[in-house]
Amino acid sequence: MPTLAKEIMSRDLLTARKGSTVEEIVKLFIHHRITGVPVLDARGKMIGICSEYDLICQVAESKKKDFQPFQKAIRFSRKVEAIDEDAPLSQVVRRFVDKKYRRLPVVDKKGKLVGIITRRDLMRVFFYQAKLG
Amino acid sequence: MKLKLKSDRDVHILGVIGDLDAKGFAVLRAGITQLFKSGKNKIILDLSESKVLRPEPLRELTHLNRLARELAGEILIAGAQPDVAQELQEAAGTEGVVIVSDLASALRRFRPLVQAAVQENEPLVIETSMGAPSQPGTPSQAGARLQEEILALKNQLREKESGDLPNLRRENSILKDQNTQLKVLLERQVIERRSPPDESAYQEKIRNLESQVEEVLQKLAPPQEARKPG
Repeated sequence: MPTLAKEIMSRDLLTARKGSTVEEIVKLFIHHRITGVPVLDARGKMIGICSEYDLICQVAESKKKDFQPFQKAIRFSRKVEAIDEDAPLSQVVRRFVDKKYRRLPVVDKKGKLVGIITRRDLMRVFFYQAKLG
Repeated sequence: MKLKLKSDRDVHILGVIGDLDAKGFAVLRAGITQLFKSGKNKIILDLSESKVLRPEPLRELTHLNRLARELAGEILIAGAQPDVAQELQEAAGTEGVVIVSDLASALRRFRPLVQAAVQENEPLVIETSMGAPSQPGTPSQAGARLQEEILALKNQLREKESGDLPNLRRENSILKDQNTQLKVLLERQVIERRSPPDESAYQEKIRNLESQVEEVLQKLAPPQEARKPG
């Protein structure tokens, strides 16, 4: 039986809301040692992904060297690809390899965000599957 | 015997229900292996609802635990009966699986900073099956959680400061004083040893040195027979 996306994904989801400030998300990234989060709208639907790169760009663009950019709402990438929770591991791996993703959101049949798979999750799976056969 | 899987963020709790015998252990081992293959290596075995019939098979957990630790994970045993816990401890030795009293302690061990791992208000232990997702956390939830952690740590620090810290500081200062006194004493003795205080002590030291030299010379001198010509 193939390993499915829902078996390897992390359910412990940290997310941002549309309108979250840069300050909030910087703190979230640093406290939880993550590099990106899915962004949800008011109804909980995933509308994008905010990464460290997005935040760096946003703050670097500001000419003022004060705290103002941190109080603004985050900008994020709206081109987000997600994978179905029942997708097999091979499909997940192909996405990571072909598209060089750092993280891949996992959605259920209704398109609701249910988890996330990172490169690190994949490495752990590879390691243990190789060790345990 | 039945296995019940729960998860608390990245920690997976395998609840063992019923008698854990050799056959049951095979099921348990398969469960752990399956978790590993899904990349989950922070595992708590909750034995509070099980009766361990023979602890010997559990020795095998040492091997699985070593595997978990290779990628910064761990297998903990929680809620074992005291006699079973003792037997397991003896069987496993220092390299073995850590046994803690209850689930809350096990969760605290995985996350020492999160004091409120199992709290009344916030159900951090969310039962999930493969198909039923848990609710995603929001920044505000994460923020609240973080605030709780900070508050708990501050309280801990305050307790430590009000309790142990003054005593420890006092002890430290006494020990420092003693250390200084001993150093002074030692220096004085070293000087005294190097230069005897009066003439008779000098004479005594010279006699000692002369006898030492004599002894050394005797040891170095070749045996009498060797001197005789052939």
